[in-house]
Amino acid sequence: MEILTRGKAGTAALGVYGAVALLLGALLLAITMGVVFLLLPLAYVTTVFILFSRDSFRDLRQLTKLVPIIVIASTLLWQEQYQPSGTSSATSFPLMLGFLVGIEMSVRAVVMVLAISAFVRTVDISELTGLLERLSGSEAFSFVFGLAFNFTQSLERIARDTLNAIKLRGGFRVRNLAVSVRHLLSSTTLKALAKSEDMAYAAEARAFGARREMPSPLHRDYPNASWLDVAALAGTTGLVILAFVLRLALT
Amino acid sequence: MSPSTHRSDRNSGTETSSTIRTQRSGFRGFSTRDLVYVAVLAAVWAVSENVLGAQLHAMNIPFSGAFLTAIGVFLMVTCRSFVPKPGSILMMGVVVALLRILSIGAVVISPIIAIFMEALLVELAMTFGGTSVVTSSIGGMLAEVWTFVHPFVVQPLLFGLSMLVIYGRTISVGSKILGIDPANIVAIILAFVAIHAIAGLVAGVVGWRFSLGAKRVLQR
Repeated sequence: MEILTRGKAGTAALGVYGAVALLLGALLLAITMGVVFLLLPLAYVTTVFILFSRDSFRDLRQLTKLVPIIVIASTLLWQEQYQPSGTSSATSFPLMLGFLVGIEMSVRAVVMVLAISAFVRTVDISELTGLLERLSGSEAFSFVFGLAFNFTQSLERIARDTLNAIKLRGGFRVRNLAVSVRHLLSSTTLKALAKSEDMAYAAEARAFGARREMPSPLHRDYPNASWLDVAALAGTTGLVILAFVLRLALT
Repeated sequence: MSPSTHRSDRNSGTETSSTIRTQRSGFRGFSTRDLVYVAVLAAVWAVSENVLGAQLHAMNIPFSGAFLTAIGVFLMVTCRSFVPKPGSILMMGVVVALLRILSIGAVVISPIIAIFMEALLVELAMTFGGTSVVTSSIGGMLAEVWTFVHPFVVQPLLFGLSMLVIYGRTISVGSKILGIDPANIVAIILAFVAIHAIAGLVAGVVGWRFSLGAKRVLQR
């Protein structure tokens, strides 16, 4: 579905508004739903992923160690008396009950990781900072983020050079770790702060921060919500209502 | 007007209206210089996570997470000392969290939440308590204690409240296996919290003292 593909010029694509709606909906469902109803948000985020951000499945790697531990621990340690009052269990075998609780917890974790990952991978950082700009009414945040992002690479080079120099002089052993870190941090931070002066002058020379008396070339046209964003918002709202109605009807 | 004149204007608390430097960017009264300081210190924090984090990991240093948080506290306190305005630390934390997402190539949720929460705690301490060495150390303590508490908050959020039951049960079973009184386990946990709190306090004081020294060096 080309129309749903990101980054193709001239095609509609999910914008920041739709992505925010999908994220909030998935998180709300993951937190409030339990047992079999968790399959609903799982199906939801999986569908969103397949449509918008298939790369995000790679982010599930961060759960590869934690999920087996959780499932094993809950299988061995869970007992029926831990079941919250007012909820029914699917089985009376403690081991099986613990295993199902572990699976439920794992599904919840998968939904939340997928939802956040989809959001971050789908939305451009510039769109996100644009949204923050719009909410705060200022271009300051995107200025700070852009400056920090561009400065990070040269600063990392400086820090690595300093680190190597300290190591060549016998630093970064266990016995002198604190002194080595102090030297590295103080020199890198001081260098960075000293450069701040020049950066501030350079920014102001380009009229950043000047009051806008007339339409400015810095002014950015914020994108409006596309039909896909509206559809995402409507679909998410519908799904959340459906989930709550189903839970009320079936429990 | 020379750079040194600007610095003396700033340090004496007066700003010369004839320069563009005095103009505000419109973000709660942050000047361009303030925003640059926040950006630069956020970049230092992000770089320290990458460079020092890798080095400490290679050295198998215990409590390396607490060590990196202490560096974050140091930089947050320095930031607030250079930009004594509410919101500066929080903005720095949000920028570092976003930089972290971009630098590691994958969305690892836990450290991002940790960075944001640490920044929020230091911001709250220094906003309500004022900018001083005392609030720096209190903020540092709160941020460091958060690193200890963090997994117990984030994992129930990710996995659900059943996680707390498993933690409680694990402590109970573990104390029986090791023959330790559960009350002693509580004491051990409190000792860990105290170690983190002391590390945060030291980081806050060191950050404050460094920022005063850095201001003097930059004025030369």
